[in-house]
Amino acid sequence: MEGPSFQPEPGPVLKWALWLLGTLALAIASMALSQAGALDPLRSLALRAASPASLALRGATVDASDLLRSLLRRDQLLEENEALRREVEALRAELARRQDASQRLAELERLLQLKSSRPQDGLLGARVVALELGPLRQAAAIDRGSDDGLREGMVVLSEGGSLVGTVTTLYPDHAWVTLVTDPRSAVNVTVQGGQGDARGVVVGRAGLPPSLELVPREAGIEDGDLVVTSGLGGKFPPGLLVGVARSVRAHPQDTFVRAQVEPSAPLSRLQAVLVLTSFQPIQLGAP
Amino acid sequence: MRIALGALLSLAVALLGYSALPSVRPLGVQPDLVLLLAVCWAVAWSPGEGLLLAIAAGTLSDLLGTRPVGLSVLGALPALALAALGQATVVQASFPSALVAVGLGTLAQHILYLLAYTIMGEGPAWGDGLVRGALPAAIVNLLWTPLVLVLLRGLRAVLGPRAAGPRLGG
Repeated sequence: MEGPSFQPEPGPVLKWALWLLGTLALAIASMALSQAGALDPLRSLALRAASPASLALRGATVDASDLLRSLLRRDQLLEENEALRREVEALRAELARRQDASQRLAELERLLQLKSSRPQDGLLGARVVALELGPLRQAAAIDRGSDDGLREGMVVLSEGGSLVGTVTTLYPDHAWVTLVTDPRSAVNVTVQGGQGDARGVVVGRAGLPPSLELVPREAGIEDGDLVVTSGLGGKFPPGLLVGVARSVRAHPQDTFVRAQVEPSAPLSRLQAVLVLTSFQPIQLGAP
Repeated sequence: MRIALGALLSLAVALLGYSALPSVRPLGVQPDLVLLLAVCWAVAWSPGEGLLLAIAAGTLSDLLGTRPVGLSVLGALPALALAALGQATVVQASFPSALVAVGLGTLAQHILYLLAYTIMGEGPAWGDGLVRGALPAAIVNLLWTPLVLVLLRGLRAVLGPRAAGPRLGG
C-alpha cells in the first residue's frame, strides 16, 4: 500500500511546461508578425465581422447605463444640470466681453459644439465600433477607413466638436483613432485663462487624466479654464476644444503649473465621431 | 460541449472587452476578462484547458483591439502558470489559488505589457504604468474573480467535472 504522494507527477509537469513554452513561442511569433503588419488583413476582417454585434452591444450598454445613472443620480443630475447652465451662462458672458469679433465667433462655435457651426470644415461622420480604454492604450475603432479617404494623422472630433484624437491605424473600411488620453498622445494647446492665453501641452498618462504641462506659473490659469488646440506644430488646427483645466496647482518654487485636463469629449461613451477631412496635418521632420 | 462553451465564451469575452465594458467600468478600470476566464477555467477544469482558452480568447481580443496579436496570450501565461502551480499542490483550494493567480498574474501581465511596449518604442512611463495601471487592474480583477469562478463552477456542475473531458498536462 503506497502512502500519499506530495509531489506532482513529473510527466504532467513536464508536459505542462512544454505547453507553456510552446505557447510563449507562438505568442512571440504572432507579435512579430503583427508588428510587421502581416496580420493587418486578419485584423481588418475581424473588425468588420465583429462590428454589427459590437455596435449593438455598445448601444445597449450606453442606453442601459444612462438609464441606471439617471435613476440613481437624479438629484445630483439636476444639481449638475443647474451648475452647467450657470457655467455656460458665465462662459457666454465672458465671451461677450471679448473685443475681437473673429475670436468671439470661434469661441461660440466651440461652446455650441455643433457640426453646422463649422461649415468651412470637411467632416466625415463615423460610428465607433470598438473602444479600448486600458491604462496603457486608449483608442477607438471607427467604421471608416482608407477607402473613405481617411489618412493617418487626420483629426477626429466628437459630435459636439471637441477633440477626440487622431487616426493612427488604417484599414480599408475601418480605422483606429488614438484618443487624447492615450499615454502616447501630446497636443499643443492654449489655455484661455482670466489673465490672458497661455501655451502648454496636454499629455496623456497611463491610468490618469491627461496632464497640462509646460504652462508657466505666471500665466495664472485656474480651475475651469478652457483648453483649446493652439495649432502649434501643425498636427491640429487651432481652436478645437480639448477640455477644461482641473486640479490646478501652482507652487511658488515650481516653474510650471501642475494641472489635469478633463476632456470635453465623452470618451468612454463615444458612439459617433466626425473626422476632419479638410485639415491636412503637417509632418515635421527632425531639425 | 465544453469545447463549444469555451469557444463561445472566448468570442463573448473578446467582444465585450471592446463594446460593453469600456462604457461600464464601475471603478474606472476595466477587468481583463481574458485573464479571468483563462485562470478561472484552469481552476474549475484544468490548467491545460485554461491555456487553450487563453490562446483563443487572447488572440480574438488582440485581433479586435490595438495590441500586437499574441500580447494578451503572453500576458496571461504567468497567471496560468500560477494557477497550474496551485492545482498541483496537495490542497487544491481552488478559490485562494484563483485569487493568488489572478492578483500576481495581473501584476506580471502589466510588467510584460510595459516591457513589450518599451521594446516596441511605445512604452509609457513605468512608474505610472505600474502604480496607475497594474495595481488598480489587479484589484479590479481580484474583485471580479469570485463572480467568474462561481459562474464557471456552476457550469462545471452542469457539464461535469474535469475528469470527464480531455486534459492537457494538468
